[in-house]
Amino acid sequence: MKIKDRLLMQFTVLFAILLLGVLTGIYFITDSNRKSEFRNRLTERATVVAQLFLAEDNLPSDKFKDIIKKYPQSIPGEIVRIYDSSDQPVFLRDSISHEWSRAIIHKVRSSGSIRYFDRNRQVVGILYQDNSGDFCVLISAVDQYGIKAMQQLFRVMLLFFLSSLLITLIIGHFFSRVALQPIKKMIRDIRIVRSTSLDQRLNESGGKDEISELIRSFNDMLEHLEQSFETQKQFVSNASHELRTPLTSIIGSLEVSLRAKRSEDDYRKTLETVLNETEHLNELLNSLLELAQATIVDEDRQDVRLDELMWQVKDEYAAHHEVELIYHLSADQHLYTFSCNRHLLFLAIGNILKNAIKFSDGKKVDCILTANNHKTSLIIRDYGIGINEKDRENIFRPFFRAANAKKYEGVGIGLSLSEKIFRLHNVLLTVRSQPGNGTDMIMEFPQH
Amino acid sequence: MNILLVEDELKVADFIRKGLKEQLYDVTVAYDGLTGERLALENDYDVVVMDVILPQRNGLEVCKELRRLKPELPVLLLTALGTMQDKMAGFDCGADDYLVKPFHFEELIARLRVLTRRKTLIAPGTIYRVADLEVDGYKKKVTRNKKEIQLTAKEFALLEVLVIHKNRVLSRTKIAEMVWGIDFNRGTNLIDVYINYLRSKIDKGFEQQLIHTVIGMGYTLKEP
Repeated sequence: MKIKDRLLMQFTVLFAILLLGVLTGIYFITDSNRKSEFRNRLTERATVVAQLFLAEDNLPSDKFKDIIKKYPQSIPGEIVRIYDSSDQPVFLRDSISHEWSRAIIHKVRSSGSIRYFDRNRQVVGILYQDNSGDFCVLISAVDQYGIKAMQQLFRVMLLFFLSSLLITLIIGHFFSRVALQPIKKMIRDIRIVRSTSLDQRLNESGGKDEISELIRSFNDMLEHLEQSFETQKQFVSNASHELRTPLTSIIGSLEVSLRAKRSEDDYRKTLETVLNETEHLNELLNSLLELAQATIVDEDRQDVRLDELMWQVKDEYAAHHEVELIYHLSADQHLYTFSCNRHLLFLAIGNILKNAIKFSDGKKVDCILTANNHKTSLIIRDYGIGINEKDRENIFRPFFRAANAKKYEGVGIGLSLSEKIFRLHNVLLTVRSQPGNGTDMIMEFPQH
Repeated sequence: MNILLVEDELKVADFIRKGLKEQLYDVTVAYDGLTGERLALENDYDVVVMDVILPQRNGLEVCKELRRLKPELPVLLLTALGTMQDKMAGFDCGADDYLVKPFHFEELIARLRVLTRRKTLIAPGTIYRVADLEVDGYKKKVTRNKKEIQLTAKEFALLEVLVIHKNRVLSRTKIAEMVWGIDFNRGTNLIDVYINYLRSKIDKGFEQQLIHTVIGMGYTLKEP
């Protein structure tokens, strides 16, 4: 699995870099200390040699014996030279032919001390002042034991580094596999859920971690999907029923009529029936097409004044019915100017008004537009037959016709089209109704 | 009355021809756009009834040509394409009226009557003025503040009506009748859309607004 390997790699590399950094740091600090220590030793040694050489006759014999006892050992491989005031070597203990250059000797005299590296040898020089003159003592040696210790340290560090890396890889591999196990399980479970078994859900363990939340969200999504598939199926079966019913009536009437010779009146009646049914079909088709087409493209949006739109809707749909427009508008025009697809909103409000008029039982319809700092709302109120409580949530479903509405003409799509359009525009649509007393359709427009 | 019908569906062409003949109109039928255009330009018809979806050349193209070469010939588009955009495209090409299929035959007859009646002769030199707006009814040119404004055929027709009746409030029904023919109220708000178009071309960017909505009554073009 890619994420698993990636996690492992990242973690191991990070760890390696960190460890490497630490080990390198320790190594260099230790090395620096070693060199410092050795330098001190060399300096002491130079001092002692000088003292031994020059003070032999100056110190009391027991003090001299003390010194010899304290610093008897020479440093392995050391080269010591003492130069007198005229830069002549006066002390040579070993048989190695090595002389320091005049330049260096003078540097010691001018700075008082000197230290440097000559390949793997550390060199220290001091100025030793004695009553017999200013002597320059130079000593060089190889820190054999120190260097050996450092090499040992390096080997140990390398070993630890590599083995730590290996252990990290192994443990990391194990841990990342365990961490990703729930996701692998999820993937297996999801594969089982296909469109034919959308009623399946993933097991929710009730935990609070991210994986549990992911599983819950996924289940929610499945729920929505299942519902929308159901709605689709329902819509298709409703639509076919609605379309087929008038067709049945048309085909039936015509076939029967053609079976035998009929009177002119009979033919007329049949033709009228058929014409009526086809008009019904046409209306249905138009509504279905509109329902399918109701989508908004942002470039279709315009700023629409709701008071103007409401009047246009009334003028269009309420030519022969008493409809009163009541406006409670604040002075700020922006509170009742709405950015929307004008045509769709016209249709949506129009359908609501058409319904209100249809079910108004001959009584007047009020359209109340309110716009102030708290809300912008349009209420279309009729005083007619009203809607039963149990029907209230169903009226926006396509093809639904409430029981008390059945004897009125209509297809049952107008409200679902309005609802869809309002939803696309974030307009909240609520219904308040009392059977026999009337209905309020309340549209609340988002304010910005 | 001489009618040219351009329709490629045989059954539809047949019943329209039959119905119109019974109304004592003379009907010639063309079954594709190219033939229809040729016939319209070569002969004298009182009105052209044309479908949009046609073989050879579609109805909108033909309409544009006819508007260019024979501007006084009324064209009625008769088509199954019924969305708002389709209607506006039709009017933008210069159609005088737009009837969506399926239609009521009565309505077709009524609209044809309106189209053939509406041949008002505008004398050359008739220029209507409101503030800095100038509308030349004969040349079909519009300028505001000396700048020329491009309008489609329907936009011009609407502006002309508003300007001729300036300072009077015209109801939507009246506008529909005068600009589009009778009984345009079909649940669309075409009039409002065109008023908006007009506003954005005539009023936008200018100091004084000329076209006003009088809520509850209608629209008016007012001298500021």
